[in-house]
Amino acid sequence: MIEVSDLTKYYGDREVLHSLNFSVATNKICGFLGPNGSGKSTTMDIIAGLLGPSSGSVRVCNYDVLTQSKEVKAHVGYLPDNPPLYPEMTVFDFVNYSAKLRKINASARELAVKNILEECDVVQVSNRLIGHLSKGFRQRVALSASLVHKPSVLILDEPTEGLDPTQIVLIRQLIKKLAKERTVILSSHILSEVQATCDEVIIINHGRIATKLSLQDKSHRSGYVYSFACPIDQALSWFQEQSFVEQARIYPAKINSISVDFSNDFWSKSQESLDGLSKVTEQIVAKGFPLVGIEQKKDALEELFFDVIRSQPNAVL
Amino acid sequence: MSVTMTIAQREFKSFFGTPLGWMSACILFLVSGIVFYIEVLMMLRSGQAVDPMSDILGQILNFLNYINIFVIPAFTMKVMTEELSHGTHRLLDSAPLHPWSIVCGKFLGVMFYFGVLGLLLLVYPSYSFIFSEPDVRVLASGWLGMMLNTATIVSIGLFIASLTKNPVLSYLGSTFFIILFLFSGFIPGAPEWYKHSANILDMSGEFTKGIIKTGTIATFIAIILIFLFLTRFVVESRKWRV
Repeated sequence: MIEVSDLTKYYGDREVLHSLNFSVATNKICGFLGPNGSGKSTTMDIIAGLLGPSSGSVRVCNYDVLTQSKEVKAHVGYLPDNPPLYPEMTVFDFVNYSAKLRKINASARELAVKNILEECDVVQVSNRLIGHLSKGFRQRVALSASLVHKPSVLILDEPTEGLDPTQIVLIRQLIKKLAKERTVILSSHILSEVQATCDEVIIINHGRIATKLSLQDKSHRSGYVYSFACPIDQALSWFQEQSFVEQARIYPAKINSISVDFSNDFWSKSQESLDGLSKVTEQIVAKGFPLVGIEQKKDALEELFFDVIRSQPNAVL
Repeated sequence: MSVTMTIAQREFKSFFGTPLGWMSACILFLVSGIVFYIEVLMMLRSGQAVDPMSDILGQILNFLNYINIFVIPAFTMKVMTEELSHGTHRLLDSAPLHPWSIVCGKFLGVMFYFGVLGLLLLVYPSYSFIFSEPDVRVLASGWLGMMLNTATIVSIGLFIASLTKNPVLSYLGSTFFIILFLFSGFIPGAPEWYKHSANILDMSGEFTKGIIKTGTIATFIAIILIFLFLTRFVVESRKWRV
């Protein structure tokens, strides 16, 4: 659906993207993760046809963004980080205007606008001025406008930026719903956002792809934290000796706790169930270690993100 | 063409959704009302025979042509520079549109606004139909001159406004450039044809006297097209600029 090859972009003499290569398959949600100024928005602008690449090629739905820009734009819905909204227009007028710009013919337009307003849950504010809406609603209105022509690719640049937690959950649900019928690329520097929404993640830093990973891949499954009633040197040694443990270390955020990452082999044998974990727990208890709690680590991606960013040249973390 | 009209329609409506459209209409009507009152009063006192079209309407239109130099840059700033500074140009840039559609849509949007104001200004000469049989051709000619003058200033304003994201710079730059363009005809050594072509106020003044020259219309159209083409070039080159 989206194929990016050797994409490079210069702003003057400054190289902002360096030979990016990646592809996103149909009906997948791909997350772009990276610190501010890493090149996420520039990459999205190029994929959406708003910016031209300095070199390399980008193909969207088999159309080249440089030579077939109109076709690409017809297949792409783009929501920039700063949603392009006219505060003096009503929601309906704005989405209708967007539909006209997309050359949806008059007979189909009214139905298309009505459907997308319902899908994005903004029908109740359709006659209100955009300038009078909350940020969450404005984001939904901008999303409606970018979806009115039923694009097969949706590009969202930091779609939950500045929203309150309730609105974030709602937008997240909406994105997941929309992704059932289309390919979605979204950028964020909120790690939990990407973890909760995306199928795959591209971590980008200083204009280079630092790593690509699939969140469905078991190798990036969250580790577990084992907490004990007293100091745990023996338990730590025991974990480190086990073949099914990839890494075991002291978990500094919690007293007398060990962070354990299990190997891929362990997960494949466990076959999605908790059998493996139960057996490990039985063994710990049998060894007489004073186990008081087990919990899943929520920040596996966060750890990975910071590891990747730290390992990059010019790291500041 | 339909997309161009869609953009023009939106821009036209947006002027009435913000204070800019109403304030500018007030200024233009206030100024034209004062000029109208003074002209009628002076002519009545001097006891001259008055041609309501060329004497009174002509004066009003001439005055408005000067005022437009300071009013129109505010509109071109709104349709071009504000879009860049607020990021709303991305809505147009992400749609499958030709740059000409964007430029012409914005140009026509501003022209519709001044066209409507121009029609409303016909209230001044309409009084003369009560007392006399005025020459409608002079009226039409004066109106055409004002519209050509307006279109020229709009096209120059759009070009300057497309170059910057800073609204203040856009307004002052457009006004300064328009005045510079007008005065460029006075540069010593400038060829005669240029002296005549650059002074768009003089050219539109001819129309208020009922004189329509093909060459003058062609000059107006040429200036408009040149600046619209330059604006289109700037809009298209956004893809390649920082």
